[in-house]
Amino acid sequence: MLRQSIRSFSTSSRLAAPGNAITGKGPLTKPTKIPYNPQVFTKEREAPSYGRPFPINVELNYYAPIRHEQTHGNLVATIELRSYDYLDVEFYGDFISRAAYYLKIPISGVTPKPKKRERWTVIKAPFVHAKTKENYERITHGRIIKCYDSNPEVIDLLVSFFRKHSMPGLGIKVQSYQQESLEFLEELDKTPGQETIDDAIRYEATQTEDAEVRKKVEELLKDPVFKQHLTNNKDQITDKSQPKIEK
Amino acid sequence: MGNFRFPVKFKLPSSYINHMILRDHFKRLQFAEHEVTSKALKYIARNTQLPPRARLEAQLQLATMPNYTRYTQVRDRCVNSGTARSVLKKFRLNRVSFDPC
Repeated sequence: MLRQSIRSFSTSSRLAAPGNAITGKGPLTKPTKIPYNPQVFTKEREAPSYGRPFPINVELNYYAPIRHEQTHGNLVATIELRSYDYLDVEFYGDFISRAAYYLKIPISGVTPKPKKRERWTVIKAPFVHAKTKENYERITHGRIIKCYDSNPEVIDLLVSFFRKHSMPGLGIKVQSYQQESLEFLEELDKTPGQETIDDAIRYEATQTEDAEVRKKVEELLKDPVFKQHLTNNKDQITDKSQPKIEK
Repeated sequence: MGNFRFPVKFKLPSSYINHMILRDHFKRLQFAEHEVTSKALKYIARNTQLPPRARLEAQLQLATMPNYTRYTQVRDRCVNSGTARSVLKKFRLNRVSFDPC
């Protein structure tokens, strides 16, 4: 099924694609000129043990996924797939591009990423036999799908869809992008919640490891064991209030 | 660390357990517990703007802290067999346990 699904679309150009869609290799199709006339290409006219013809969306699984045309060319999201098995990423990339077609998201093709090879060498036995080594290798396969010209809600819908139908042994990373006007920062300054944002940043700074150590230093210097040394030599202390942490 | 260790109750690690794993795990927990204190003491001891007596006091307190509160005492061990030799750090496994065959 998988092998059939990644076949070239040019062999099946008789299929009329519904909607405004382009194929991987074929020419542009316009919805106004081509009538909706789905044809069946499987050998069985009727699905076995089903008694009815194959639905058009099942038929489409035999051909390369159809893609929508970009309208503005704005990159909205990148989906990255990763697995140790190349069949997994290939199958799932196919699945996502089909889902994107039904959600009317224009996507790029499923582009392969360079293989990541990790190798480990260990000795087979210790001491005199230590020259005999054993090598292990792990290859990570990756694919990238770029989504264009869609609302964030639609991208969320796609993400939640493939989260629902996720696969074991496959990692997915989604990066979404949003376009802002050039006056974005000025508008952000005018918003009434600005103080809370600054507070949040200030609060985050107190949560670091340095902040904990700084607190402990202050606590220790208030301890009578240290305080007796500090009060006797008051003029020597220059910057006690805010000690700097050296790393 | 001998006798001190046993009255202290701590959570067991989820890995393979033998006496060396337990010892190592205890050291890790103790290091985490005393990390802020030892860093603060080190800061006081190395700050040249503070009076020498306060710095000496901090140095003395650091020296009296037990050995198992230092990270140098911690050693990576195989989570499957407990051995400390030929451990692949990325997988936390010994070369024998690492072999998938």
